[in-house]
Amino acid sequence: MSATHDVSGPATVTVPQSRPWRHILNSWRAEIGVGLGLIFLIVLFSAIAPNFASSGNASSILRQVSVTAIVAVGMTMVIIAGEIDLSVGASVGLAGTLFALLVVQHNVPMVLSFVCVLIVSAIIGLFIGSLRVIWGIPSFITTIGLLSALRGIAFLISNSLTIGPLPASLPTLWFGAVLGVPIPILLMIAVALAGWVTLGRTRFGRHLYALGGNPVTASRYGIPVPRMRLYVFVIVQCLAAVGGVLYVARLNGGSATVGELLELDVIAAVIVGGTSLSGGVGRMIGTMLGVLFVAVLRNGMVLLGVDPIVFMIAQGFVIILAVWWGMLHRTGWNAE
Amino acid sequence: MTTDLLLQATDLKKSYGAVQALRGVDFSVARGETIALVGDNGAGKSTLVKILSGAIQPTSGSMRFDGKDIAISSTEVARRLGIETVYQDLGLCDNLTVAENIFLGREQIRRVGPFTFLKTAEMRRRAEEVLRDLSVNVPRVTASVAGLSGGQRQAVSLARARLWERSMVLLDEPTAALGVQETKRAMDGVRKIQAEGISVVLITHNMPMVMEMSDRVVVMRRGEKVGDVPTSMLNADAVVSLITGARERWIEPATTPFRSRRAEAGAVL
Ligand SMILES: Nc1ncnc2c1ncn2[C@@H]1O[C@H](COP(=O)(O)OP(=O)(O)OP(=O)(O)O)[C@@H](O)[C@H]1O
Ligand SMILES: [Mg+2]
Repeated sequence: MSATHDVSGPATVTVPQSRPWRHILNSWRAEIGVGLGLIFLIVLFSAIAPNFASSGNASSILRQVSVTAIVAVGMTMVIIAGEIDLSVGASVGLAGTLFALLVVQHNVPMVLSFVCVLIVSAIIGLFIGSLRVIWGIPSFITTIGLLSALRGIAFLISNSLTIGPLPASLPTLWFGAVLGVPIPILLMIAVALAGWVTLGRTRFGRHLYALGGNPVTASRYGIPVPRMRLYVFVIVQCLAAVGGVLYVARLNGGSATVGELLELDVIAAVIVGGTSLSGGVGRMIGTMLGVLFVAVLRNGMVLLGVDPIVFMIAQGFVIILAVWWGMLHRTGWNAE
Repeated sequence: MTTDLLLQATDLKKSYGAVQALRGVDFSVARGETIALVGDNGAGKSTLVKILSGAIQPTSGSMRFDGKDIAISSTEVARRLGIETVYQDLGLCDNLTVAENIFLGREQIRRVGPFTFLKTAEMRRRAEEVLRDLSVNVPRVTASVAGLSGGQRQAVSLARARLWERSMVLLDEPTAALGVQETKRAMDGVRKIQAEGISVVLITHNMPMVMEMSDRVVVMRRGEKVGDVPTSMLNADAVVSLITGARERWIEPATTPFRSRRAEAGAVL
C-alpha cells in the first residue's frame, strides 16, 4: 500500500540506465533493512526464547510499546522537519502528573483535565517552536533544557509524590479492549495511520519534507516555514500528553518519574526506522518498524533472562548499526 | 489602452549592512520583452532579480506592475502577479522527486470532507507533460532530483517556471553550469517562453546568448545601472566595454511602444 508513497530516500540512484525496481528498492532500503532485522529477531526469539511466540506475548509487546509509538509518530515529523525534541520523556511525566493532580486533588472531570493537559502541552510546543523561529535557538538546546525543567516542574507540583488512585473507569483506557483489541493498541494504530497519511498524502506532509530538505527553497515557494516549525513541536508535545495520560491509566496514578529516558527509546526507534537526523528523509512505516524492532529486542532478551544491562548495550549498537546502514548507502551514491 | 510597460522599478536601493548591492537602479520591462541583464560578479544582478521575485525586499525604491503601484512584499505576491523565477541555485529540494519539486508550494489537492489530500498521480502526469514539452530527458518524474545531472536539474527548474508563468519569467544564469548541448536545449526552452508573449529577464555571462535572445541589454556595474540599450544598437564588444567600465555609461531613452525584434522579424517574413 505504501509503494506509492513517493518521497524518495536520501540516495536514490537515478542514472538513466538504472532500472525502476532498483530505484524503488534503493529508496526503501532503510525500511527493508529494519523490516528484515525485525523478522530475523522474531524468528530467532521464537526458536530460543520460551513463550515468545504466543498471542499473549505479542499483545503485551504491542501494549507496552504503544506510548513509545504514539510519541514516535510526532518525533518522526519533528526530525523530518530538521528539528529534534529531547524533552518528550519529561513531557510525558509532566502531563501525567498534571492530569492526576487535576482529577484527584481538584476534582476536575477527566475529559476536562485531559483538555487542560493538552493545552499546557501545546504551549510547551509553542515555546520550543518560538525560540527556534524568533531567535534561531536550536531545538536541541531548548529541549535539552526542558528535559530537566519539565521534569523538575512535575516533581514540584506533585511534591515528589505519586498522585492516585484515579476513578475506576480510567484504568480501562489501558487494560480495556474493543472487539478484543486492547485500547492502547487501537490508539497507537489510529495515531500511526493518521501520521502516515499526513506525511505521505497531505500538503502539510509534503511541505515538511521540503522544509527539512531545503528551508530556503521551501520558503521561497511560499511554504510557511516558521508556522510549520511551531506545528511539529505542538504535535509531538500533544502526543506526549496522550502518552502521559495512558501511563496514568496503566499505573492508576500520576508520578513525576514516569517516562524517564523515553526520549531515547523514541528517537532510537525513529532513527532505526530510517529517518535521517539531518532532516527531509524518513517514513512513518520505518518508524513503526523501528519501534517494533526495539521492543521485540527488549522483550526477547527479557524472556531469555538476559541482564537488562546487556539490552542497553545492544540497543546502543543497534542505533549505530542503523545509522551506518543509512550512511553506507549515501556514501556509495556520492562516490559515483 | 493598456500600458506597454509590464514592470517599472524606480530608484531601487538595497544594502546588506555596509555593502550596497544596489545604489538606485531604474529598471523596466515591457510586455513580451526579453531583457538580458549582464554585469561582472557581484554587480548586483541576482539582488535585482530577487527583489523582483519577492525573495528579498529593497531598502528603498518604488515599483509599478501593470500600471499599478505595488510592493512585491513576498514570493507569494510575485506568484500572484504571474512572475516565476529560476534562481541561480535552481531552488530545488534534493530530497524530493522531480514532480514534487515542480509542484512544490502549489500541490494539487482533492477535498474529502474536512480533509485535503494530494493528487499525486495527476501532478506526476502534468509534470511529465511539461518536461516533454521542454524535450528534456529525465528518467522518471518519481526520481529524486539529487541524482540528476546539472542539465536535468536546470530543466526541472525551468519546467516549474513554465508550468506557472503568466506574465514574466526571471532566469538567473540558466546556462552557467551547462554543456553545449544542454545550453542549446535550455535556450530552446526560453524561446518557448518568449513565444507565448511572456516577458523574460535573463541573467547570463554568455555573450552569444545575450545577442541572440534579448531585445534590450541592461548592464550593471557595482550596484549601478550603467547600460540600457536596445540589442539592435549593440554588439558584443560594446556590451563587454560597459561591463568592464572601459565605456562609462550608455543609457538610451526608452522607445515606446516597445516592439519585439522577433515580432518584427516575423512581420518581415
Ligand atoms: N545575503 C547577502 N549578504 C551580504 N551581502 C550580500 C548578500 N547577497 C549579496 N550580497 C552582496 O551584494 C553584492 C551583489 O551581489 P549579487 O549576488 O547581486 O551579484 P551578482 O551580480 O548576481 O553576481 P554573480 O554574477 O556572481 O552572480 C555582492 O557584493 C554580494 O557580496
Ligand atoms: Mg548572481
